[in-house]
Amino acid sequence: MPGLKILEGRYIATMDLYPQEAKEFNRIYPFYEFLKEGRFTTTRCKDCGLQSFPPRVICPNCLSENLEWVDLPTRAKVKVVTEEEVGVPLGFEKPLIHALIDLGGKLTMFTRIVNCKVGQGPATWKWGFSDC
Amino acid sequence: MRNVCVIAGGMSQWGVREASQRDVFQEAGKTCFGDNPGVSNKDVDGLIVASAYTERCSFQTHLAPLVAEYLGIKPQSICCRVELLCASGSSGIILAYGLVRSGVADVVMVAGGEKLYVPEKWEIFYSEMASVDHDFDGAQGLGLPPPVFAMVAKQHMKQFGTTKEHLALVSVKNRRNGLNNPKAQFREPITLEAAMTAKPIVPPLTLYDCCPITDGAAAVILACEEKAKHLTDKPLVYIRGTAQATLNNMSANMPDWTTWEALKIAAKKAYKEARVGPQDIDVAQTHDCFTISEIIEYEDLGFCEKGAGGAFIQEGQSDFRGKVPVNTDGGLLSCGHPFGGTGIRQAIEIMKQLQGRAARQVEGAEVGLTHNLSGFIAAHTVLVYGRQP
Repeated sequence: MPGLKILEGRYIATMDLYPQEAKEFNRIYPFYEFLKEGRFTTTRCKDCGLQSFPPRVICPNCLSENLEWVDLPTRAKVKVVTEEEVGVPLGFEKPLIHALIDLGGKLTMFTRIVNCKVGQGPATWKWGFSDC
Repeated sequence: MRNVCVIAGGMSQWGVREASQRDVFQEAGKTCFGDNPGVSNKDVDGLIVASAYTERCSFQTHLAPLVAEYLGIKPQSICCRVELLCASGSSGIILAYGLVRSGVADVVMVAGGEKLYVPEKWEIFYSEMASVDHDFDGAQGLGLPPPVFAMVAKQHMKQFGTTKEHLALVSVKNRRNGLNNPKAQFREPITLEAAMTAKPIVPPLTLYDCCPITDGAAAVILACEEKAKHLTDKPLVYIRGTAQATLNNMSANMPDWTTWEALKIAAKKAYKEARVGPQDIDVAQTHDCFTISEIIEYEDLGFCEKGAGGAFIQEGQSDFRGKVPVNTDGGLLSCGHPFGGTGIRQAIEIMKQLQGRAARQVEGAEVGLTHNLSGFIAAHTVLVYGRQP
């Protein structure tokens, strides 16, 4: 697909066959745009009220397409954490720190912890979907 | 509805193979037909092939007709591939069961396997990021499953007092069970001390807590009862109940990490269909991808109370002469885990146990069970087999 700016130069070297964050390839691209602004978001159904994660283009409860973007908490509590030394995939640094986090009782999910070693305080750490 | 029997089964050698995907499928097919001289490739009217990484690692789609061609099978009722990662094989068996039971097919081979070792070692770690929700969990670097099962183990330890020794005892048992299995990837026993002091993978999981990456294939043949009576002189083994349940895929939607709700749902349905309960299971092959998995499976299959999985292995209840001998052929920890092959390997072991010809035989086994989990504990597949329909 010549002419697409997002594919210029680098993309041929990566393993995904298209860039997930690009509006040319993904209808939920606002999720990635919001991430760049420091917002962690998902979709909520304006008809039945169900909030889903990951974000959708169709509500998995009532099948409505009438969805809106809502913010999720950007602070979470670590429930359990572990460090991966062996088997870290290409593109990720060792140790890869994984955690199960609780976003204010609204959502639990796995994420990776960056900018913080296991055992360090919460002042410096950052989780998940970072824009780095 | 017709009764359905498993009439033959065989495996290729499993391990790090100097062989292609099509090589291991041929070996498995030959071993399967060799297992029962009463059935030949000319008797098979359907073929279901189970493989997850065929496109990624062998650059091969349209795999079932290829396997049919290589095994001299000329399918007329069904010829296709199924994929549910680690439970692809069991999925194939459930589909073949449905087709034979309903009369769409009479004699169906289910063959499953993978070629996973490729020259670039990083390739498999990278490919595994396709096994989860790739855009969300995969984006976090989650791919190979040890980190998730490590976090499950940590929580189970905290909630129920499960110990590292409990985990180690599972690997010691399954490695001992694999001793007599010539097709297994690992055929050497390990001591409790070795299991307790092995190199860390992702804490608290160490080397022997984790199943390996494996090349290999396996095949079984299912037949309607009427045909089965003519195609084998061995005792008939019936499929009595099946279930496959899923409640979520991405980690954010998992109801509970230490009680596997989808497994409880699948077990309940399979038991009900088979008209048995957990107390009736004489022998089980469960998905011991990690030692902690087998412990949680004892609990959620109902072999013991919730939280008592550690005590169950400690007391020898999952060993020979215990309540339910589990993974009598060595399980994933000994045999290895070529995703599409695993559920079929389990079916072969249960068939042999119920026919009284297993390498490590559970005396008088009448009812057997297989269980696969797949993805990040996102789907569970349970089948119940019996000597009676």
